[in-house]
Amino acid sequence: MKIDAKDIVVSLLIAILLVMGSFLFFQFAQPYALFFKEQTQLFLFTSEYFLSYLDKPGTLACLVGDFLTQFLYLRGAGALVVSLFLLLEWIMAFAVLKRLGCGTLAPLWALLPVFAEGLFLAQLYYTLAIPVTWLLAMGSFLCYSAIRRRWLALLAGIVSVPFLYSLTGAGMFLFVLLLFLYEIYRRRGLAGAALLILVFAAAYPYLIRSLYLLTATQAYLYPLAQGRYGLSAVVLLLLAVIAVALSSQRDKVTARTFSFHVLWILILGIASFVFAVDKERETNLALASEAYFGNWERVYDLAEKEKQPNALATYYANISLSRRGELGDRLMEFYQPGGAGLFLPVNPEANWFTIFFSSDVHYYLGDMNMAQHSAMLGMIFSPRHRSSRMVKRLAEIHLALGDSAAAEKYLRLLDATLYHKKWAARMRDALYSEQPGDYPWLTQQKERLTTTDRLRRAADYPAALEALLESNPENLPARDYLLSYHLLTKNMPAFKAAFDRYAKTKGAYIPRAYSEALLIYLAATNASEKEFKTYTFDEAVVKAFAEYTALYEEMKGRLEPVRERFEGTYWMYYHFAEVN
Amino acid sequence: MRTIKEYLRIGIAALALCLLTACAEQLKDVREVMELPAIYPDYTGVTIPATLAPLNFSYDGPAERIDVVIEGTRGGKIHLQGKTARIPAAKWQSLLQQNKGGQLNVTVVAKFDDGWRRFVPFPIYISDAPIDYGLVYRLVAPGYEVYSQMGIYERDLSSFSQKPLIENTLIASSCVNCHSFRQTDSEYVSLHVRGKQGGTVLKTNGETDILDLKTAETLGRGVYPYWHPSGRFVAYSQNDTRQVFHARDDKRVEVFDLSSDLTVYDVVNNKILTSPLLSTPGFETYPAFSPDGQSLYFCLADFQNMPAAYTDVQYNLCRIAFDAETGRFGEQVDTLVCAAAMGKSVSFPRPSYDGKYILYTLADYGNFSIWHKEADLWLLDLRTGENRPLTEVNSDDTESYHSWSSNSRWFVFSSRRDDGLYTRLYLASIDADGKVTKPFKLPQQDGRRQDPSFYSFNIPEFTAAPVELDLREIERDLLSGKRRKAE
Repeated sequence: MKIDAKDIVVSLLIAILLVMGSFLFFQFAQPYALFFKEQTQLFLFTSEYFLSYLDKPGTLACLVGDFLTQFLYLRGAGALVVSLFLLLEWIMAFAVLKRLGCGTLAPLWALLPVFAEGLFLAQLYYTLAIPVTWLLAMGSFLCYSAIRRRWLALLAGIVSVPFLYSLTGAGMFLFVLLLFLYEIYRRRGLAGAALLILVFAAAYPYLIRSLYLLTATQAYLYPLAQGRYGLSAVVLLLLAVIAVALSSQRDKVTARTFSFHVLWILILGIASFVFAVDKERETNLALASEAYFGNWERVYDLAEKEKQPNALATYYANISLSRRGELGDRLMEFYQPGGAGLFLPVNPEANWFTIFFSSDVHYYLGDMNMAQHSAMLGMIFSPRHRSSRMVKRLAEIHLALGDSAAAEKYLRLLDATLYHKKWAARMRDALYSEQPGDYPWLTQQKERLTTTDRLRRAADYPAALEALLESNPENLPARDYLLSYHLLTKNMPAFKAAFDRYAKTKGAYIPRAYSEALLIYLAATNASEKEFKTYTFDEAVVKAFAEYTALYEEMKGRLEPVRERFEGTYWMYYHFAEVN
Repeated sequence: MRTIKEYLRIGIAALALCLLTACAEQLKDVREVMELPAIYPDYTGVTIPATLAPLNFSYDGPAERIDVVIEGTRGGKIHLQGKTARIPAAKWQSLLQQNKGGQLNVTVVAKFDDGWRRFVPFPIYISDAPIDYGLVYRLVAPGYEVYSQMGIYERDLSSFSQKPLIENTLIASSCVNCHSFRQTDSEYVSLHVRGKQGGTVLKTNGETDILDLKTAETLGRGVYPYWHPSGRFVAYSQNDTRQVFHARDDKRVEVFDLSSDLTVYDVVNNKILTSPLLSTPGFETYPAFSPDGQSLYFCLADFQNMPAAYTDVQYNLCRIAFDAETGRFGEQVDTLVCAAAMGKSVSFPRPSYDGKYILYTLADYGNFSIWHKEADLWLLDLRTGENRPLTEVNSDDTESYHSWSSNSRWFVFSSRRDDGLYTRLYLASIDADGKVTKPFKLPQQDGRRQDPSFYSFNIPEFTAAPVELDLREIERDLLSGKRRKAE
C-alpha cells in the first residue's frame, strides 16, 4: 500500500496538536476535575478487589480505567493520561474510518469523536472506563475486519457479543454497529449474518441483566453513568455511515475542500473545549482539592480571588478564614447563603457532591461523630462507593480519637494503594508515637474532641458546637462557627447569648461582624447604656451603625442606596438577605 | 457471574499455591515458643461444622511468612507455607470429612527478623452436627439515615461464594431490607423494598406477591418479619423510627421508636391480625413465633416521651399465646425476662427451633443494640428458666443480631469486635447439654486483616438451601405499582 508522505505529515501534525492542546487544557483549565476523579476512587492491589470487577459488565474497561485513575493523584499526570487517551482514541477512530472507506479526510474526521470525548472528560461522573470501552470496541472491530475467512468472521462476530459485553459493557454496541456497517457496505458477504448478530447484541444485555443485577437501562449503558456520555461513540458511528456512503469519492478531495474541513473541525474543536470548561465547578473543585492537599493558604487566596456565589465555595472560604482567625471580621465580605455556607447539608435531598465534602468542617471543628457520618456517606454516595479521600479522612478521625483498631482498618487499605501508602505509614507513625509532641496537628485535633454527651439531630449544628465548647472553651473555631451560624440564620437572641457566654471578655477586641450584630441587638432591645458599655466597640463601627440606621430609615428599605455605602456589613445581611 | 468468579478464584488460588510450593523455604534453626500463635482471625480452639469453607488465616504481627501444618487426629494432613495460610479447598474438605467428630491440630511456625519460631499447636474441633447450606445477610454501609448501594446476599458456607439475591439498584432510589425465611426454609421468603415503588415481597411455595401491608389501623408497612412455622402467617412490627446523634464519639447514633405495634399477616386470607395487647401505648417490637407456633415472643417497653427519656426505654421479653387455627391471640401477656428490673433492655428474641432456648441481645436501654457497645448475647433456657449472658461468645464490643441454624446446633451473630465500626459475622455451636463453643469468624478468602469492604453484615439468617428469587418478576411487579393490599 502506498503511503503518502503528505498524509503522514498531516497526521503527525494533528497528533501533536491534539496532545498539546489537550494537555494544556486539562493541565491549566480543568486540572482539579481530574484530581477529583482520583479522590472518588480507591484502587487496591488485592485479588479480592480485582475480582470485584466481575460483578458488573465492562470488567476490563472498568479495571483499566480505574487503574489509570490512580495516576490522576499526581500533579500533571492527569493531563498526560487524558491526552494520551484522546490520542489513542483519535488513532483508533482514524483506523476505523479508513477501514470503512474514508480517504484523505479520515484524520480530520477522526478528531470529531475525540472532541466529543473531551467535552465530558471533566464531568464528575465520566470515568476513565468510558474511553477505554470505546478503545476496546474499536480495537476489536479492527481485529474483526482483518479476518478474511467468512465463517471465521461470523463465528468471531457472534462470540464477540457476550465476550465484549463482559469486557467493555456498552462498548459492545459500538463494535457490533461498526461490524454491521462493514459487512453491509464493505464486505457484502455476511449482511444477513451481521443483521442476526445485531439482533443478538440488542437482546443480550436485556437477557443477561439479572445476572449482573442491573435494570434494563443500566444494562444497556454500563459503564456509562448517563446516556449522553455515549456521544463520542454516536459521533464515530455517524462518521462511519458517512464514510461508507462517500467511500467512492474519497480521492476527489481538493486542497480547498481539505482546508475547509480543517477550518470547521478546528472551530468545532475549540468550541467543544470551550463548552467543556465549567469555571465555577472547577473553582469549587480547586478549593476542595487544595483543602484536601492541606494547602489552606491557597484555599484562602483562591476564595478571596474568585469570591464565587455558591455554598461550596463559601464553605471552604469560611474554613480558611476561621483557620486564620478572621471569620468574625471578614464573614460578611463573602457571599453567605445562610447556614449552608458553614455546614453543607447531609440529608436524603442533598446531592452526593456536597455530601462528599461535608466532613471537612466537622473534622476541623473536632466533631468527630459528624465527621465520620459525613465521610461514610460521602464515600458510599460517590460513584464507585469507595474513595481514597474519604478513607484518609476516616483514618484521620480515628487517629484523633486514638482508636487504633478502627484507624488500622483504613490504614491497611491505604497500604494496598500505589500513592497513599506513604501517607498511611506517616499516620501509623503518629498513631503509635510515644511522643505526641512530635505531631502538633494531632494534639490540636485531640484537644478539640467532645467529652460531654448530648443527643442532637444531624442538622442541629448549634447543639454540636455548644457540646464542643462545653468540652473545650478554648476551641475558638467552634466558638466562631457557633456565633457565625447564629448570625447567618439571623437568630439574634441565640447569638447574643452565645457571645456573652463564650466570647465576651472585658476590653477585648470584638470582630467586626459580631460588633455589627451586637449593635443591632442592643438597639432593638433598647439596651441600657450600662450594658452597652460592657462591650468594647470600635467607635468607627458605632458611628457607621448610626449612619446606616439613618440611611436605612430614610430609604425605607430600598436596597440599592444602602448597598452603595454599606455593602459587606452584617446590617445589610440582616435587613436584606433572605434566609431559608 | 458467580461461576466465572469462582473459576478465577480457583485459578488464582492454584497459581498462588504453585508459586508458594515452588518458593517454600526450609525451616532452619527453629526456636520453640510456649504460647499460641497470634493469628487472625482467631481460630484457635474453635468448633466448626464438617462442611465449612477453609479457615484461611494470617499471622497477626510482623512475620514475613508462616509455615502451617494441619493434621487430623483421624488422619490426613495439609502442609502449606506463605505470607498467609490459604488452605486448598478440596484438601480441606476431605480433611474435615475424615475427622468429623474429631479434631485438627494446627502447628504454626512463623518467620521473623531473627528466624523461625514454632508456636504451641492449637486444636480445631470438627463437630458432627451439620450446618445449613448458607447464610443470607444484607451488606450495607453504616450510612445512618440515608442509603446508597446495598443488597441482600447469600453465602455458601462450604465455599467463599457469595451471590447477590437482590440489590437496591434494581429499583431506583430504593432500600432493601428485612429478609426473613420460615425456619431457614428458602421457599418462604419475606423481604422489603422501601422507596416510592417499594413493597413487601412475599414468596410462598413458588408464588411471589408484592404486598402493601399498610392499613388504616396500622402504624406502617411492617418491619422485622418472622414466619409462623406453618408458613401461613408472618408477624411484623410497625415502628415509627427516628434517629439522632450523640455528641460524644463513643456512642455515635441513637435510634428509637416514637411508637410501635405488632401485627400478624395471614397469608392465606390476606388479612392483618392484631390484638389490643399488641398495640398498647407502650412500645412493642421484634416479634418471633415459638417453634410450635402457639406463642408469639416479642419485646415490650413502657411508653416514654422520646427522645427526652430515651435511656428510660427498657424492653422486657414477653409472650402472648397464638392460635393458628383461629388466628386469635391470648388474653394476657407474660413476661419471660424482666430486663427493666435489671436496668437493661432486650432486643431480637430468637427462639431455637428445637424449642429449648431463646437467644436475645441485652443492652442498657432501647432496641437498636447495634450502636450499643455494651450489647451482649444472652441465652434463656426455656426448660429450666436459666437466663445467662453468653460469656463464651461475647466481646467488649457490640454483639447484636443473631439467628439459629435449622437443627438449632449453630447460631450466627453480628459483632463489631474486629474494629468497632463494621459488623462482621461470627458462628458458634451449642451442644445437646447447652455447652456453647468459642465463636469463629465467617471464613474469608483472604485471611488477612486487610478487609476491603466498607459494608456491615446485617440480619444474618441461615438458609437450608439456595434462595431462588425471580428478579425479573419482582422488578416488573414493583414497577407496575400493583400491590396485594392487606385487609
